[in-house]
Amino acid sequence: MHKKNGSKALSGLLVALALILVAVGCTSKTDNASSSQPQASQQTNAGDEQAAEGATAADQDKYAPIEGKKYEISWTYYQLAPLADNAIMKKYFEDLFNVSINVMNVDYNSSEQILNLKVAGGEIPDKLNVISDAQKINFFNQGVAVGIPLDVVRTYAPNMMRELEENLPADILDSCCIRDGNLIAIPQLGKPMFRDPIVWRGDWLKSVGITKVPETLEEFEDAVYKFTKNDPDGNNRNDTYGLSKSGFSAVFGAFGIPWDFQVTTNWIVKDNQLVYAQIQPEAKEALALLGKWYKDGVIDPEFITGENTGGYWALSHAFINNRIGFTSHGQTYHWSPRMTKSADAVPGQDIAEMEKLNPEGAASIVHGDAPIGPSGVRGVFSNPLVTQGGNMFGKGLADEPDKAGKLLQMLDYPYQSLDNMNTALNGIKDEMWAYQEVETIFGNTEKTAVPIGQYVEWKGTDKLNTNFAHTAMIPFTVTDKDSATYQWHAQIKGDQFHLANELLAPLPSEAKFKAELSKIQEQAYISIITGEKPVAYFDEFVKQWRAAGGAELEKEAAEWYASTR
Amino acid sequence: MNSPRRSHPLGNYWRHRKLMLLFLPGVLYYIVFHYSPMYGVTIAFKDYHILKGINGSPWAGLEHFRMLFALKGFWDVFTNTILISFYKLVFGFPAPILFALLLNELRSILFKRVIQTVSYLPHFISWVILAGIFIQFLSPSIGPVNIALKSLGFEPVYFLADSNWFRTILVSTDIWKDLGWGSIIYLAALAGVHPELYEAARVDGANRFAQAKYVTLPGLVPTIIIMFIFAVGKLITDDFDQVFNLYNAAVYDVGDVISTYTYRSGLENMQYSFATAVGLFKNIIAFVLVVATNQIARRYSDYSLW
Amino acid sequence: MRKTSVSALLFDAGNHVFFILLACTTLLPFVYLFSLSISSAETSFATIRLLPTHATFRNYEVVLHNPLIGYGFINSIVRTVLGTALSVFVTVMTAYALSRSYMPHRTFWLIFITFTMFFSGGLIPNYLLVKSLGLFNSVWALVLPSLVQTFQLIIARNFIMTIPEALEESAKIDGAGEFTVLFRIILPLSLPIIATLSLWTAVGHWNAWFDSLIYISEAKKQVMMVVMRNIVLSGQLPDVFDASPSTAVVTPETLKAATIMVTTLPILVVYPFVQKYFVKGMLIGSVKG
Repeated sequence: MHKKNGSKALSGLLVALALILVAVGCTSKTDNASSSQPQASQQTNAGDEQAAEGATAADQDKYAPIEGKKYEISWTYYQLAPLADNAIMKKYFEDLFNVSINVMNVDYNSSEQILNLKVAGGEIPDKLNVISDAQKINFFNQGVAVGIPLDVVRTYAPNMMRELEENLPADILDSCCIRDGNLIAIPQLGKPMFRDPIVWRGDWLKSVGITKVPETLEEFEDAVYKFTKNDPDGNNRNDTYGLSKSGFSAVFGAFGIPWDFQVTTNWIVKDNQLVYAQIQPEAKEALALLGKWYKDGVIDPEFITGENTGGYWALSHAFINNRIGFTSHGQTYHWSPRMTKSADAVPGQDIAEMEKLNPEGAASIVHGDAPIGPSGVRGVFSNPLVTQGGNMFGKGLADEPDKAGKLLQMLDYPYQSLDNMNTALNGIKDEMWAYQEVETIFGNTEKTAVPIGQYVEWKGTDKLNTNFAHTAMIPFTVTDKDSATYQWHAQIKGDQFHLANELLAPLPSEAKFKAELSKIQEQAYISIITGEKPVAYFDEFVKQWRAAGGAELEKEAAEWYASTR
Repeated sequence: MNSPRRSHPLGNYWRHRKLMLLFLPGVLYYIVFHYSPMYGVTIAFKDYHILKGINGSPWAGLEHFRMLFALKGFWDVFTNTILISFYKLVFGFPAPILFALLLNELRSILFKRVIQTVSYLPHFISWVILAGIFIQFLSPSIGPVNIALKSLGFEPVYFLADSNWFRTILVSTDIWKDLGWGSIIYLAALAGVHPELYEAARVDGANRFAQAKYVTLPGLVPTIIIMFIFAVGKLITDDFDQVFNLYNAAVYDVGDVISTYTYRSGLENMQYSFATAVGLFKNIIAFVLVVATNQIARRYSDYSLW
Repeated sequence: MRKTSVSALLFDAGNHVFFILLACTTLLPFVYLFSLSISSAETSFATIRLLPTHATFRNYEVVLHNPLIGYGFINSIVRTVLGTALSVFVTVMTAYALSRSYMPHRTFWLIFITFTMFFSGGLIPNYLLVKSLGLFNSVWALVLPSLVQTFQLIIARNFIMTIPEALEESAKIDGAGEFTVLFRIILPLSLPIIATLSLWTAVGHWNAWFDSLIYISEAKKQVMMVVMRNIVLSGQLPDVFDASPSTAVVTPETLKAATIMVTTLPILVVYPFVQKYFVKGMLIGSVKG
C-alpha cells in the first residue's frame, strides 16, 4: 500500500519537476546578465577586437577624458573591511579629480565569490580588483574585463607605466599583463627583494663554539649537528634540533632547487630547457642528505606538521620556542630588526613574537648567506616578481573610453611624486601626516611620512584603507630604494641567493593533475626523509610522477618556454 | 469523513482547505526560494559564461563530470570520503544517543543543566582554532597525551602524521565536538516520553536499566530512525574545515577527501561550473542513499521520511 | 520507598565521574579562549597556556567601542528574533499539515520538499532571486531564504506524528476545527520540539554572516558576526601590499579570542531558558493518551 503510493508519487514528482525546470528555465526573468546583452560580441575574445584597432591617434583622442565632465567611476579594491561612512580620502580624491567614486565593497577573503555574484547580477565595476590569476584570465577571456592599448596607458598614466617597466623585466610584464598590445591588468608587484630568510640563533652558534656564520653546506651541517647534540640552550635536556621543514629551503637551494614549505612545485631552467625542479637528480641528492640528518636526529621529528602551529602564518613557533636553531620560515622582513630609532619602531613579526618570550635570543638572530652546495650552487626560494591577480578594467569602459582615460589619470597619481604617493598612502599632507626626519639604524636620517594628530592611532590599522587611502588608491607599491628597509635588506644580501620558479603561466592541464601530483611528491619526499623509503625510491617516484600526468605537464611547460623565447 | 479517493483530486484539497491553508506558506516558500532558482543546477552541465548568464551559457553535457572522474586519484579520495564518513556514522551516530540516555539518568537537575551547557561549547568553536589546539595537544614531544603515554612506558605516537591513527583522530575529535549539541534532539524526544509509562514500568517492578530498555529507548526510536536516514545521506559529505586544518602530506593517503582534493586542484577557482558539478555529484549520491535507506525504514518500521 | 542496589549506586557514581571528565574536556578550549581574550597582546601564546599572566580587558574595550557594534548587535537580535519566530511558526504549521494522514498527496508533497534538501540552484540564482524580489539591504533577505529548514521540518513532523490521533479525533468530534486542534492540542504537547527548533534556528541566525555580507551593503545594517569579522580583519594591514611590511601590525590572537567570546556568550546566556523544555517528565499533567 505504501509502496504503490510511493513510486507513483516519485514518478509524479519527477514529471512535475521536469516541467517546472523547463518552464522556469525558459521564462526566467531573474537572470539579469543574459537579458542585458546588446549583442553577441562578448563571445569572441575581447582582446581580438582591440588588436584590430591598434593605437592610432584617433584612439588616443577616444580615450581623452572630457574636460569638466564629472565621471562616475565604480571601484573595487583590496578591502578587509567595508568603506567607512564619509571616508575622508574618498571625498578628497573625488574633489581632486572631479569624479564621483562608487565603491563596491568586496570583502577580500570572499572576493572571488562576491565578485562573481556582482558580475552575474550585472554590476561590473570599472576598476576590478582580482586576487588570483585564474580569475584574471577568466574575466578577460569572458569579456568581463577589457584591455587598453599600451600607448594609451603610456599617455594617460606615464608614471605608472614607468614604474612598472622599471621594476619588472619586460617578459614578465608581458606574460602577466599584456595581450596583443593591450594592457589587460595592472599587476601587484611581488616583493622581488624579499626572499626566504636564512636565520640562525646567534647565541646557539656561540654556545656550541661556532664563530663564523656557516657558509658552505659542510659548515651548515656541522652547525645543525651541534645544535642537536651539544645542548646549545644549556638546559641539560635533549630537546633541541638543528632545523625543521621550512629550513629545507636552504638545503634544496644548495643544490640549485627552489623549494619552499608553501610552494613545493617549481620549474627551473637547465641546459636551456624548462624542467620540473622537484624531480631532478639534484633534488635526490638534497633528499639523501636530509634523510641522513633525520636519521641522526638532527631534523625536528615533527617537521611534518610544520613550524607554524596556528595564528599568523609567518611565525615559526618551532624557532621561537627554542626548538630549532635555523630556519627559513616566512620572509626576510619578518626577521628584521627595528629600522629606526624612534620609540614606536617595531621589528619584523617573528622577532616581535620572540622578544615576548626570549629577548636575548631574539637579539642574537643572525642572517647568514645561503650555504654553498657541492657544485658551488647556493640559494633559497624567492617569490615571483608579480603576485597573483591585479587590477583590471571593467567591461563598461569599452563603451566609455574617455572614462578609461580618466581612470588611468587617477591611477597615475601616486606615481607622480613622493608627496602624491604619501598622500595616496597616508592621507592629507600636514593634516593627517607630515614628513619627519627619523634616524635610522644606519646612522643616516630618513624622511618618512608619519601620522600626526588624531591620526596617530590609525597607524598599523586598517583605518586608512577604509577611508579610501592605501590599497584603495594605489594599484601597486614600489619599494623606496633609499629606505632603511632596503638598505638593511641589501646588508643581509637579501637581493642575492634568489631561486625562483621560472614557470610564469598556468599550464593547460595543470588543474587536472595538480592535486594528485603534489600528493605523490609530498608523500615521496616525506618518506625518503623519514627513512620509510630508501633514497633509491626517488627514481620510482619520478616514474610515478611522470605517469600520473607529469609527463604531459613537462611537455606543456616546454611549449610555453619555447613560446616565450 | 473518509470519502472514496476516486473523487476529484482538487476536491480533496477543498475539503481540507483549512489544513491546506496551514500548508500554504510553507509550499510558497519552497516554490519561490527553492524551485524557482533550481535552474541553477544546469550550471553543472554547462560551460558557464558570466556575462551570458546561466541560461545563455552553452551546454557542456557531462564534461565536468568526466573531468572530475578523470582527475588522477579521484577514486582514492572518494573512498577516503566514504570510509571516514562511515566510521563517523558507526561510532558517531550512537554517541549523542548514549550521551542523552546517560544524561537522563542524572538525578540532580542543576548538575544536568550545567553539564548540558558545557558539553556543547566545542560546537561553537571553529576548526581553525580547534585544529591548532589539537596539533599541540597531540604533539609527540610536548603534547599531554604523549607525555602521559611516555610516563606509562609507551613510545610516543605522532598521531597527526601517522596513517594508522589519522582517521581515528578525525572521527574521535568530530564526535567530541558535536556530542553535546547533537544530543539536544534526543533530549527533546526524551522529554516527550509520557511519564506515566515510567510509572507503569516501575509498578511492574522494572529497575532503572529495564526502564531505560523498555520505556526510554522505544520512546527514542522514531527520532533515531529519522536521524539515521539523514545520517546515511551524509556518507558522501566531508568536513572540509576539519580535514584541511588537521591534515598534512604524510596522511594524504588516508585523510585526503573530495573537498580538500578539489580545493588543491584549484579547479573550483577556475570554473564555477566545475564546482557546481562536484556538488551535484555529491548530492545525487546523497539523495540515492537517503531514498534507499528510507525505503528500508518504511519496510521495517512505522517511521520514515515519506 | 525505593531500594537502591549496589549496582545502581556504582552506576550513578561512574556516570557522574564520566560526565565530570567529559565536561572538563569540553570546557578546556573555551577556558583557553577566554584566557586568551583577557590577555594583553604582548603575551606570548606560542605555547598554549590556560591562565593569563596579566588580566586585561583591553581587547573587550576595543571590540565593544567599535561604533558599529551597537548596530550590529541590534541587527542580529532583530534578525534572530524575527527569523526564529517566523521560521518556527511556518515550520510547525507545515509539519502539522504533513503529519495528518488525510493530507492530500501527502507523499508527493514530502518528496517535493525533501528533494530540495539535496538539489538547489546554487549561489548565483539565489542571489539573483533575492535581488529581483527587491530584498537587498533589508532584514528580509536574511530571514526569508532560510524560512523553513527541511531537516527541521521532517523532525518536527515526526515528533508531531507521535501524538496520538485519538486526541485530535475526540477534539474534532467536539467540533474543533484544524486551527483549534493545532493550537490547543498539538502545540502544548510539542513544546520540546518547538524549543529544539527555536534553538537551532536562533543559533543559525546568530552565527550567519555570509548572507549578510552579500545582501547588506549599508554598514549600519550589518549583523554582529560581520562587524566582528571586520574588527578582526581590520586590525591588520594587507600583508601582500605594504612596501615596508616591517611596520605592519598583525591582529593579535587575543583580539580574535575576544570577538569569539562576545559572539558566543549571548548563546550561553539564552540557553538555560530553553533547557527547561528538555526536562524529562515536563509533560506531566498534559493530556496524552
